[in-house]
Amino acid sequence: MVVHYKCPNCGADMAFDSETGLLRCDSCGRTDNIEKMAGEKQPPSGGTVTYDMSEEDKRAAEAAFEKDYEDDKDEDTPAHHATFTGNEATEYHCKNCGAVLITDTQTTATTCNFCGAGVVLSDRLSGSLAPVKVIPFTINKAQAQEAFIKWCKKGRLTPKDFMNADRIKNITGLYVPFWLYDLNGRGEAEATCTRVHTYTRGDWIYTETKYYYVYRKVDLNYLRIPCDASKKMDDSMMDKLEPYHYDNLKDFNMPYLAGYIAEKYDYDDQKLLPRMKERVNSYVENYIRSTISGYTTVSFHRKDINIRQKRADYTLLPVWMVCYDYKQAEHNFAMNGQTGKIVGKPPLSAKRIAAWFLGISTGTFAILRILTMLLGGGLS
Amino acid sequence: MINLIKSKSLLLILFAFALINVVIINSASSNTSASETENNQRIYDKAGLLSTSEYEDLEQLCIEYGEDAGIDIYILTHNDSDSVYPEAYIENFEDTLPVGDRVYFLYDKYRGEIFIEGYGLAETYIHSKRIDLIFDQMMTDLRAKAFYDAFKTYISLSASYMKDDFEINEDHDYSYSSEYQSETEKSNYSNGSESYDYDSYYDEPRTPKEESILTNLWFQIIASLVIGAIVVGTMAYNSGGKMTVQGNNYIDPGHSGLIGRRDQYIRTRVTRVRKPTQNNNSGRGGFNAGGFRGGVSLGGRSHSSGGRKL
Repeated sequence: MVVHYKCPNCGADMAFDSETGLLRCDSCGRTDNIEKMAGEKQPPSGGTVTYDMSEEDKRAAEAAFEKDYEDDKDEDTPAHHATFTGNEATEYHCKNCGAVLITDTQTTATTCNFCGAGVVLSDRLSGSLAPVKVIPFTINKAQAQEAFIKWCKKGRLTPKDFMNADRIKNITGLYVPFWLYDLNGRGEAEATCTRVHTYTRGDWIYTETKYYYVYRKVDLNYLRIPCDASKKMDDSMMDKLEPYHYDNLKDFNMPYLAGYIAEKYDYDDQKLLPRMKERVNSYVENYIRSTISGYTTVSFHRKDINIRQKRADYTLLPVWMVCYDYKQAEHNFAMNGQTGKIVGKPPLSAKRIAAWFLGISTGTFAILRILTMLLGGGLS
Repeated sequence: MINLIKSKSLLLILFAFALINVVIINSASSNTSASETENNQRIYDKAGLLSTSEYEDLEQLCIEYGEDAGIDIYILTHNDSDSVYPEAYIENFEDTLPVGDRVYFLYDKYRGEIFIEGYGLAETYIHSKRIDLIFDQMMTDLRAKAFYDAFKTYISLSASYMKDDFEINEDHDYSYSSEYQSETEKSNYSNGSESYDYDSYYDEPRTPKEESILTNLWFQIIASLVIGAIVVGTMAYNSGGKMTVQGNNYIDPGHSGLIGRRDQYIRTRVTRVRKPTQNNNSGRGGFNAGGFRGGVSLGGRSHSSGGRKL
């Protein structure tokens, strides 16, 4: 089903306005509060399954640590059990002009190629495919373009003609599907640490090394770690877009998508869990290491880390995709649609790299020479 | 394009490391060549004071007397205007050899000075006061340019002192400043007109001392290039934005924390090393409590020493 937001006043197309956070008609200026548009609301049906962790933790705390891992309920909690059934074959028609909407199988919101009206494909946003949360765009197209040009000018290694930023091919507002994971990480570690103390008695220098056995056990909860669920998007690029600020995290409503492109997830939360666990594993490791302080050396001989999924919310996060034509090659950049952070590999200029390299090297060399001269003068 | 740049900076780094390796290998090979010079040659007559037959005779004497006395007896001469001052010249020569018991006589023809240093056992037995006695015996021959006879005297006296246990110098710490000692001690063993001004070379730069790796020009050039490559490489790597979030960004502080910790003392191990002796930072010699003169080479070998102007 195609949903199209027509202005009740004048009949023009309405679209989400990032400045006010309201659905706005550009023709007559009418605005509608999205959260109050009850009729349009699609309540999340298969959205989330939560798991009572406090009860679980209480029991785990009472039991010895060894038993934690034997707990039969110590499992990941998947958010969805429904199997994915896409409607790849369906052809959609624009409600405004009747033209065929050009969509691929992932598209959940787009604009009509003929009349430009923003449309939402509601049947691809329901059931197990219904997003639970959304962070709406707070940066609009003009601001995004301006921020991008500013960023191009800041590039220290980019070629001069790239910095003009005059070849932006297109700039697309995209709601990228993410899973926001809540995870619990438990870690237990044993290490041998030393404290080294040196002192002088008479003609001898004594080095006193005290050895300690150090044990740490941590229970850590991480909230809403995003993981990109779209096949098209480069994972590392999406990771670098973080952080998103969750004070602007809204319950999902279709009008937020009006005027933007949106996609549905390619991977469910279970498929992405290993990637998430790997990431949180390093977080827990770092945390454990940060609790050991006051020692000269630390060497671990045992580290057990167990990560469990507590919850995963299907969430759409705003991203501006900038496609830039430079010397017959396309460069893609992504901008966090909430904070304006830009990632993506810009072209690099060999000339400017050489200049920086020479500059830094000569500078360092000059400093070293001056130090040598000062020290040399001091010695004699 | 980006890959090309990456590989370029990588190449630069590799190049810099290759240069460092070359430097290290060179210095290592010079060390090995130094130890290879350990042969039976005892006389290095660079000033050409001796005839071939005299040279061979003296070589023979050096080895015979040396074996009898349990030390290696060396004679060095040179007429090199660029050389370091006599004390350091012998020290540098000694540093190229493995640790051993040696006594050196140096005639620096260019400066017109003679110098004797004793290392190892010879430091104990051929101390500065005995060096002065040896000089006393040699002076007449040296002034008459009868080098063969003078060197013979040096060889036989050195060997005989090695067997004389009366008043030997066991204390090899020459950290007393020469200024402090000069009033009381110098007069004891220096014979007026022949007094040797040890301080006269104190202002002369000891070139090897300056060549610490950090002040070496090539090292600095390479280090600058490496730093430049690393900085630019990091800039290029981070030009596409970097990961700025950490675990702390997502942690739920109210429901996270340590639930168990133990820091248990196991044992203590104590090791000790002797304090490095800080005798004369300049390494240019001084006196010990007994009034014996000596010094330490750059290679850390202490020696007795004595010198005179001809």
